[in-house]
Amino acid sequence: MKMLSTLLFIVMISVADSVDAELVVIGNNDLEIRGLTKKQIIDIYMGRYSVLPNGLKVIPLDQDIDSSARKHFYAKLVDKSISEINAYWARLLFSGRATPPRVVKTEKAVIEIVTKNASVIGYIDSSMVTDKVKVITRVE
Amino acid sequence: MWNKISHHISNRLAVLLTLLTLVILSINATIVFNRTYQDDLFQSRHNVTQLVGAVANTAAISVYVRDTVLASEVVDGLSASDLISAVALRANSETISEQGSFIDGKKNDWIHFPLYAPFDKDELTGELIVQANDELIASYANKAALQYVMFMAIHSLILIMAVVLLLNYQLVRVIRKIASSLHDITPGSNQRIQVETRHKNDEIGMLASDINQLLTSVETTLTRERTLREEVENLERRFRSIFEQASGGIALLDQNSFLKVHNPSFATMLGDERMQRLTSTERESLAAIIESETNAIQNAITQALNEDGPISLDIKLGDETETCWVHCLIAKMQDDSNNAPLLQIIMQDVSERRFREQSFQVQAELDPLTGLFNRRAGKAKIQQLLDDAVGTSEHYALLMLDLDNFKPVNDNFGHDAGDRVLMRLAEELRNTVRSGDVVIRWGGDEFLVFIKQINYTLEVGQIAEKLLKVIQRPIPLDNQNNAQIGVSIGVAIFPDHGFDLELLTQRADQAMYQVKLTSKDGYAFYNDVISEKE
Repeated sequence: MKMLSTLLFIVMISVADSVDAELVVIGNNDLEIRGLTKKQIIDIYMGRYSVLPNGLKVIPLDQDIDSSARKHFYAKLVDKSISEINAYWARLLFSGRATPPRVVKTEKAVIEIVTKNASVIGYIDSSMVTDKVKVITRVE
Repeated sequence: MWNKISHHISNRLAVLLTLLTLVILSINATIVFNRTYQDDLFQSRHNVTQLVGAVANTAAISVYVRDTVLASEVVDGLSASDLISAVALRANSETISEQGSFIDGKKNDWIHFPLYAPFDKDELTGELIVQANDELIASYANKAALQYVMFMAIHSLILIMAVVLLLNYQLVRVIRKIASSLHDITPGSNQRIQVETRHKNDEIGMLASDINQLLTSVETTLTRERTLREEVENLERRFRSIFEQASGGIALLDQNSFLKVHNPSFATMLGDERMQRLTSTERESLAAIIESETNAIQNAITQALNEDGPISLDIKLGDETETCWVHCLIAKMQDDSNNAPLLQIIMQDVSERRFREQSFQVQAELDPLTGLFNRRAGKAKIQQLLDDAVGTSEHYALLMLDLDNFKPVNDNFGHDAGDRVLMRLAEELRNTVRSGDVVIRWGGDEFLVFIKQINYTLEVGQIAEKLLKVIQRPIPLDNQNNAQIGVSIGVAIFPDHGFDLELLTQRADQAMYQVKLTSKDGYAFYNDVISEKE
């Protein structure tokens, strides 16, 4: 009984941890989009489109390859592990038709690049959001 | 050809097995071929599906991101397979990459693989169309099925050969051996079939042992039959020699006395002429050819047919010059079947006996000196004539003669002279009466004369006178002397003076004594005597 409650506790902590890390997709304040569907975000991040249906070109930013933010982001977005995502890009890499998003080392750098470029989007922890960027959607 | 082959069981078996196997093989081969073909076809389709499955993810990604390079990579890779003749990668209606030529006629054979977005399994992004290389697949399948059938055929062939060889070794060779040794065995001999020890307890052993039992029983039976036949032949030979060498004539007749079988003695007895008549094509019966005895033979045959015992009769054969008497035994013969009974006739030549008997009889009946009937035979003769006369109106006369003056001849001139006188008188008497009449030497110097069918006393008187006269003739005794004999005659008439011989002689005697007492040299009837006495 005691074992079971301990196990239950650990599970609750881990759930709390993941829940804790809420990610949001941010864009430049000048970006003229009201919101993006999850599918649109997937298509942008997985290299299907770089231009939105309204003609707007969008450039996605990725975080550090091994960062937990990236891990959480793809897990929530497409339910894939980092290695699966890497394998996906590896298949497309040699043809050059679609390229993986540009990698930015830190969340601060993400915010900075988004702030400076009107067509760039990125994802950060929700706690890091400033008024220099606007939240396009939450990643759930 | 077939005949030559079919002489051997193993060949026939091989041919039949091969035919049977061909039939079964053709049925099986059809089934197996179709099955193998279908399996192979299915397997090839399955292989195509697996091949496509291996690149499906990559294809889906290439469609997702519209990566034509990646797409053509996928398409090229698939079309490199022999099993696939054409591949196309389409994103909705737009063809991204295509390899090979799709044939519209085979649209039904196209395999469509739907492609979904890599990160959204609900979104259909395109499809991969594959046209299987059906000709090649079919030819592969065909080849595989044919190989399988060939394998089966070779397998069957080897099995048949093995079966035939084994049968030949285990069975046919042994049976052939038995058959050939049976072929060489002469029925009835003591040869037997030998089998190897390993067959002692199996069917071959049983067959051989049964055949041997049969051979033994055949041998026993044949030996017995041979012995029996020899016995029968011996017996038959003896019977035949009895039949052929018998001194008596033996013959078989049918019911009408037609000759069926006869022996040589029979033919000899009957003579050539009669045998000719008996055996010629227009043959005559035995009764018919012996004319003198036809009725007697016919009667005897009828009697023999109706009675159980043999009938015997004597028949006279031969002609005037040579008489021959044959004693015949005729008996009915009924064999086991229901045929009409036959008659057996056994003939014995009894001529010699018959003649001997006759001469005995004659000697016994006659007086040795005079050759007249002696008293006993004479009485029998008269008795017989009297018996025949009873019931008729015939009259017979009995004359009793007693010589007078005979004793002096004996006394004076000796017995030889007396005998000569008696012989002379006897001859005179015989010459005086008819041949049918009877003359008897009744005693020493007494005679009895029996006259048949007389016309009563007148005629008898004449005969008596005649007798007196011939007896009174002088008989020369020597050169100087003659014998003068007288006679006294007494007469009795049948039936007037009696019916039986005894009475008649008695009365004739009385009449004669009367004559002797009174006058001598005279005759008297019994009637006269009676009347004189009275």
